[in-house]
Amino acid sequence: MKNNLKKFIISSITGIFLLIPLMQVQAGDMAAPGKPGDIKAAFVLVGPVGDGGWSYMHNEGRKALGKLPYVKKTAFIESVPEGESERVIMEFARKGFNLIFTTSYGYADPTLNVARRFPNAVFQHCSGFLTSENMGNYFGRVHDAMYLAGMAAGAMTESNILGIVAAHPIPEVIRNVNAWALGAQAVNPDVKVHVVWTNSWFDPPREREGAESLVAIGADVLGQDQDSPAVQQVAQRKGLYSTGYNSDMTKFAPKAHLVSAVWDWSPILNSLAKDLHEGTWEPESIWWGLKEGVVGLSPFGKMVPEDVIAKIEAKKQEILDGKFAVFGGEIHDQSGNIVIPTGVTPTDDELLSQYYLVKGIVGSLPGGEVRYH
Amino acid sequence: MLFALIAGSFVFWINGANPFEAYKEMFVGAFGDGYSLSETLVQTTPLLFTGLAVSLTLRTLLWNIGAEGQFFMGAMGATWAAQAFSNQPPWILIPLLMLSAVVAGALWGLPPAILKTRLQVNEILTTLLLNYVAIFYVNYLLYGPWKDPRYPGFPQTPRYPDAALLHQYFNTRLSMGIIIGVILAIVLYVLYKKTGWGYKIQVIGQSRKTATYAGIRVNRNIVRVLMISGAIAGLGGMLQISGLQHKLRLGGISNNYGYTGIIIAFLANGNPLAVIFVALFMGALLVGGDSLQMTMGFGKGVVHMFEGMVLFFVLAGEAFKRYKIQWIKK
Repeated sequence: MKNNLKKFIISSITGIFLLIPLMQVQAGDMAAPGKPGDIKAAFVLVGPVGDGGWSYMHNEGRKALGKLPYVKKTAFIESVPEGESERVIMEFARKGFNLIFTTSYGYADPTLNVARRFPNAVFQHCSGFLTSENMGNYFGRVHDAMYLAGMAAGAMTESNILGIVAAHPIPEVIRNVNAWALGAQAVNPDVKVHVVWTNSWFDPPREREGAESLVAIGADVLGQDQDSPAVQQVAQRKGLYSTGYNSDMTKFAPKAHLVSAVWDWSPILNSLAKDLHEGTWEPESIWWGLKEGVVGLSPFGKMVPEDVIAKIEAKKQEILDGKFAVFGGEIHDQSGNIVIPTGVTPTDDELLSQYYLVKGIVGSLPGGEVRYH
Repeated sequence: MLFALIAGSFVFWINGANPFEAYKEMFVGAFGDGYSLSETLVQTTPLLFTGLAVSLTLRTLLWNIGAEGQFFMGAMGATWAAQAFSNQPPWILIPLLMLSAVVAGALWGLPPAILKTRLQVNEILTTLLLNYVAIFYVNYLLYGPWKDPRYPGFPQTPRYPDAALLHQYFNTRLSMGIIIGVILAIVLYVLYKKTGWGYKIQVIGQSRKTATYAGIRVNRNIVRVLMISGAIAGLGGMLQISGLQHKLRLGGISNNYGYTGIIIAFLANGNPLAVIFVALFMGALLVGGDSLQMTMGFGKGVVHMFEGMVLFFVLAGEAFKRYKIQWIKK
């Protein structure tokens, strides 16, 4: 009996080894393409679609995309860690999806690796900067909306201490933190903004702890660049105010929520699908903003006074008219050095590589020296 | 096992899907063609190492909950070597990476071993807690000194030099790791069955007093077992980075492989050859589970629920099997 088992095990192991050469099967384009112009779109998401924020909004975009007549199928996979992403993206490509959206910064290299193997599919990486023959990237000028949300925060604070819980200290998030602080300072020059990095896109307990630590040092309006509404819930519980990010977060904190800087991916997604359908798709870096409706503001909470709303709406109009740029000089960094001189509007490249915190922010970036004001 | 599948069907059914279709989808996703099979084996590789690491200590009735941390330390050790000797040719560099990973993993197994033998501190606690130390230390390196200057603020190291990467066969993502793992399993099997050492550690596991009485150096062997266990997990960490991930990054080192290894070792009842199959099963479950999400539109929760259900029933079945055997013996 025991010998039989041993024989079975040994033969199975040899079997596995014999199978390995059969794997010559290529991972390349084996999926038969459907009718030209038909689109099967797939989304690789970093958090759960129920996160109420980032991944939720991408999933909303997916649903809207599925309504286009030439989009035959949409699919998603949620909570994919960076290290698993390459396999998952490859699997979508193998299943014949020809428009694949990878929606986290850390998916950049895996997306490029798979794009090389599947020249006939189109890959779109969200929030990155890599492009190749069949890979583009897209993001939005959400810092404009964050600036406007920051104005609301600056107007509503009594302690003049604001706190923002932010994910990774990378330019994408740093811009939002800076814009939020600049917006607050625009209506309230005395305000100090404290920042806490959670080093995670989606980690509600950590986001909550970050928010609580900010409350502990006296912050009375909280902001966030995180995927979940945990920060809003802290503000609600402590009887403070908050501004949200990604989606309209009113329902998570009806008494605290002032306004959210929100995404609407549909304009970008639909336009990319249309280009692909019509055969005019090209690898680009798309960076749309308020004008195209990719970013915007949620409805204001009831506690926000009319004059504050009017001020914010006016500023929004100025941005739309091109009369005002959030990062138009003069901008100082934390130690007071001029990083953007008066009258200068930074180029997109400069914005995309922004790696400093503006004056009035308390906190630091890794790799830089810790500086306080 | 049958119960597991029936219970699993139930999960699919209440989520509004045809269970047979779901199983077919999982199977096709994991074994459907050469490439799917290769991906399953890619997932199996790290599980094989952590499974073997835990199964070794299980034979001595020690619990190494620390394979996760040892896996991280192995990945860290390998990355250190890849950076320090980056201009060496592959035939020097890759053994160096392995050595460095093995040493790092073994050293991570050492403190619990010393505490266990000198102060009788429970190894379950010490190995578990050292996981957090390892993970936080690696995170510190990723955010600090080892950060890729090209991506300021994002936690990852630069890519390994080409000489430090393992060849990936047949245009898949499979590297020599799986082969090393299988050979290692066979070597361990032979060690257990054919050598005095294998017998000794089993005696220690069954009764420490008997072992002492028989003149076996209990403490020395406990230290050895925990260090070798750490070394195996550490080697797994190196193979994962050098063979698959190519750089150290947050969310790209271990997908809870160390903890899954505990389940694998338990299901395999400490038998290294059985570990191969259980690891393969778990790898297939992982790959097939993703497939479910992609084609059937299930959320991750449903897939996790299914996986948990299967494991629960398999573990429960295991217990029943053992109970029965004892009953007959009486």
